[in-house]
Formats: sequence, structure tokens, C-alpha cells
Amino acid sequence: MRVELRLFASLGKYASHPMISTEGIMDLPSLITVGDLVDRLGIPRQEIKLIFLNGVHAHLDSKVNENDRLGLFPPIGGG
Amino acid sequence: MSRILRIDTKEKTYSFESPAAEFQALGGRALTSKMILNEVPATCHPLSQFNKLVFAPGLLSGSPAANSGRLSVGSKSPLTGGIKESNTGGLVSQKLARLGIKALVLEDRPGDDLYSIIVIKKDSVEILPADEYRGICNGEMITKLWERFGTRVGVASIGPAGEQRLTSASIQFADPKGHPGRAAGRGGLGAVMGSKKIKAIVVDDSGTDRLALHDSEAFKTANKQWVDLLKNHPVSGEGLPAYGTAVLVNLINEAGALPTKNFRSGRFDNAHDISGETMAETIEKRGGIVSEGCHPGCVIRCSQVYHDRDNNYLTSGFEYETIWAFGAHCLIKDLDDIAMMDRLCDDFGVDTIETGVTIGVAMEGGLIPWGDGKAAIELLKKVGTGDPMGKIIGNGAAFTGQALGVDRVPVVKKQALPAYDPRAVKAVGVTYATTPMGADHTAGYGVCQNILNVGGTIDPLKKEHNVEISKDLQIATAAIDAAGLCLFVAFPVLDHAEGLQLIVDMLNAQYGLSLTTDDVVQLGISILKDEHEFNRQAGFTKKDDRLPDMFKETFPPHNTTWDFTDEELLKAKTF
Repeated sequence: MRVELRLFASLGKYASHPMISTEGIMDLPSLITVGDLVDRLGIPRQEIKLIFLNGVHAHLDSKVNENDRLGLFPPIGGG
Repeated sequence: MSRILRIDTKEKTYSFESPAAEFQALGGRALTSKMILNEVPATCHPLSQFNKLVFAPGLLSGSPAANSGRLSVGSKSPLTGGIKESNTGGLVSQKLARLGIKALVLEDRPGDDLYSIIVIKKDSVEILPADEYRGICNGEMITKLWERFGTRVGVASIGPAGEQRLTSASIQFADPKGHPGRAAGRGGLGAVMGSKKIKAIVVDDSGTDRLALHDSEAFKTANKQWVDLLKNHPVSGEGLPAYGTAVLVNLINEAGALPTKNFRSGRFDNAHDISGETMAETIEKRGGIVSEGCHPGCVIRCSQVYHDRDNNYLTSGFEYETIWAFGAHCLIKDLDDIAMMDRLCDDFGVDTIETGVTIGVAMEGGLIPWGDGKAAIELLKKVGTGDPMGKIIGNGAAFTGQALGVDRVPVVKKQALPAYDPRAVKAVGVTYATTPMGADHTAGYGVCQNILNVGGTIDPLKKEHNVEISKDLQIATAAIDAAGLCLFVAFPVLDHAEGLQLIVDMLNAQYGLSLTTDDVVQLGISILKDEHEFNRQAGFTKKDDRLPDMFKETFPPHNTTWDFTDEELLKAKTF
């Protein structure tokens, strides 16, 4: 299934993984969780603080579905 | 003991006084708001002789406490008509504190049109003729004053906008490198300074001793833990220094809350082009500075210096809210154009949030096309010239909206909304509505719990708990502003219970007090009560705590609306 992945701030360094197209698209088996996806990309789970699935807070055990938009962030803030 | 320095701007005289009993334990925002409530008639015209402009260092300012160099500037706001505390970095706060000045108060106004500068040194206060500086922009003004008085002095100045007494005029402050990148931006306080014909204030603390601390060992112990707390939290220790506040562009966009095209949707297609990541990369490529502090003793260092394509200085203190206002809000995707507008705002002395939102309202009114950065720059340049169109823009979003017949004007109490849509970050929406300041994210930064998962997690799209958290944050913020601490200390303080105790420990060690954390909470409440009382006397009612009707529209991608009742909002200001 097609998933749109966005890696931000210090996680940007993992975006060059061959499983991710230059447009940030991944082709994944169905019923995968965010945690599984992160493991496949070799991103240490502790580097991830904020997970947005289609613009809503999600967790490492949240299920990812076809055409979802997933954004991953380290701990950040500002204002 | 610290003293209050009053300047009679009409007679060009000054006097020192011991603080009245009720002012003695106060500093920063606690002191500015108490003085404005006690001494300024709430119904006066903000530009009249009856208004005052108060500069007060926070209680910890001038001490070695990390991130304690923030200054509160208070007055009746020409923009909102209510009380205002505008908070800034720079050099003035710590230097006033070391000079033993608890508050600097500008009073009355001259009968003529001649400008002065105020020069405060260890053994002298001078009010000097300054007509030679008339019309000069803030960047050049600081350069001239550093040439004249030395490169260690603190400077607060107004630019052409303040001289024109425009309601979005700021007071700009020299940062440690002498750039005008720090601002008491919100609420038009530059217009108050302009009405009193004070072009600049120079503060020179050379020759002063270190600030006396009641128990320097206890202070040192607490401050060491305080520094560790700030440096070890991932937000204040890593995220902010690496990308500045603009790191939020991608995050707020991903959360579907980045107000785009005058609050029509929460996603901007070109967010990446104006993101903190892109900004940091561009700064590095052009030899700018990715991370620097806005005042000595800052360990977070979220400020930066942004260079132009020719690798020359363009602007500094390039903040998320500024980038959003000129960027996503106006559909402008060229970061260099946005940086140029940040520079122009600093130089003319106007608030970047108010001005960016105003440019978007001008686009809404058809004055210039959406997304046209070059046209926006030309429009903004008129603010510095005295051109009538520049006066319209420089008077802010509400004024410009009315001038152009626009019905989508995102303001509360006539102050423009910042960079988080209230329908998708509801805690900050409650703050926009209910803070005495007019729409202001810093007054109760509910983004922490709604988006950042700092200090807990509260659903940003539902009403539940968002009134309560906004209220708690407004109280805590008022206390932080009174202490003179940078608001970003809140990230570690919200996550670690010992943080608030360390602030209390430092206050106790500095002043020989025995405050508790509950006293600090009570201080925050008392500040808000003073501010709401001033606004009540000025004529504000619950109708002034509403968001404009445009926020009843559904907001994609989450398709939420602003749905709080007057009664629900009232709870955020009931203590």
C-alpha cells in the first residue's frame, strides 16, 4: 500500500533510505504499525517524540492505512 | 534598594524615588501592570499626556540566572485600547537591573515636536536633544548610538513608524551584536514612545558592581541545576538552538493548524520552502549564524542571523510567527522575501505579526495579489515613508480591513491573531480570546499540550480541558514574565516538577525571601486580576473576548469550528 512519509528536523537524515522515494512515498505491506515502519527504516524509536497520522496525534502502535500521511518529529518546540 | 526612575518628557527632568510599598516585591510584568492600573486613567487616549510607558526588568534580571534577561514594557495600548505588557530580550533589562533601576517610567509628553534621547549611566541621567535622529531607521539608529556611547550600551529605539504614532509601532532593542532584532513588538508601544518624543533610550551600566545576592551560594547551587535543566531538555537544549522557532512551520502544518491564505486552511503547500529546516540550511550555506542568544546569559540560543544571497546580513531574530505571517498567511513562499520584510519591520519599527497579518488582509482586499512577495515588500516600504497607504498598513489588520472593506479580519481586541489556528489548536484559541492582551499566543501557550506533548497532552480539536489549560498557562506565563525569564524555560519547567522550585529557590536566594511555589502561582493570578481590572475600567466586556465570525467557518483539513460560548470562555478568567 502507498503511504506518504515525512521526516522532519533531525529525523531528516533518515529520508535518504532506499525504501522512501524522493517524493516521500513508501510502498508497504498492509496492517503495518508506525513502530514497524520506523524499525524497517532503522530509525531509533527513542529519537521520535511526535507522530502525526493525517494531522492527528498517533502512537508507535497506531495502524497505518493506504494513502495515509505520516509525519515524524523529534522533540521540538518554539513559539 | 532598587529605585524607580521617572522621566518627565515635557519638562525634560527626572526623579528617582523609592518604590511604594505595594511595588517593592514586584518586577517585570507584575510591576508594569500594577503601575499602569494605579497610575494611568483607563479611559485616557493612549497617545495623550495621561498615558505612561513603563520599562521594568524581571525580578531575576541582572543576576547570573540563565535566561533571565527579559524586559517587560507596559502601557495602555494604542492598538487594543487595553492594558499591554510587551516582552523583549536585548541588553536593556539586565543593565537597568544592575543600575538598581526597578522601573523606568516615561510620563507626560512635550508640547513641541522636538525629539529627545534618554541616556542613563551609573551616576547620571540625561535627556538630550535628538532631532538629528528624526526619521532614522532602527538599524542605523543603534549603529549611531553605539558609535557615540560605546558598543556595550543597551539601546531601545523607535523607527519611522513610532514617530508617526502608528498603532502597530514597536520598540526595537539592540541584541548583543547591535542588530535591531529584538522587539517589544505587540500592541503599538512604539507609538506611545513616539507620542512622548523619545527617539531612543541608552542604558550604560559600566562601573556598576555585580548585583548583590542575599545568599550567593544558594543562588549558585540553584542556578547550576537550572542551567542543567534548560540544557538537558530536548526542546530547549536541542530543537530550538538547531532550527530556531521556525522549526514549528513543518510541525504546525503537519498538525493541520498552519493558518493559510488568511485562515482558510491549515496546510500550506509550500511549507517546506519556509521551514526552519530550510532556514537553517540557507543560513549555513550563506555564512550566517544558526544559533545565538537574544541576551547575555541565554543558554537556549534560539535566535539567528540570516544572510542574503550575496552573503551579507539581512535580518536577525527571524521567528516562526514572522515567517508564518508573511509566508503561509500571504501565500508567499520565498524565504528571502520574508526575511526582507522582517528586516523592514525591524528597521521601521513595526510588529511583524501585526504587519504580516495586515499584508494578508491587504491581499484579501485586492490591494496586491496573493503570494506576490515583491509587491508585499513594496507595500511595506510605504510604512517607512509616511505615505498615506503606509499609514493604513502601519495601523494594523483591523484598521486596514476597515479601510479596504474586508470582512475577514483575524483580530481579537483589534490585535492580529498569531500563527496557530484557534479551530485546530483550541487551547491557544482560548488564550487569544481571553488574555487581557488581545490575540497573543505567548500569553498562554496551549500549543504545548495541544501539539507538542509538553506538560501533558490535550486534544487540540475538542473543547474538553482547553479552557482550564489556557487559564493555568496564562497564570504561569504571567509569573514567568514577572521573573524576567524567557518564556521558553516553560518547556522544561512544564515537564519537570523541580523546575518551578528552582525558580523559587533563585528568587529566595537573591532577595532573602521564603516564597513557595504557591506564592508564585498567586503572583501570576494577581497580575492577571490587575490587567483584567484595567480593561474593565477601560470599557471591555465579554463581547471583546469573542473571536471574529470568520472562525465559525469549518477549517480544513480537520473541518473543526470555533465553538466556545461566552460563558465557557469566562471560566478562563475567573480566579
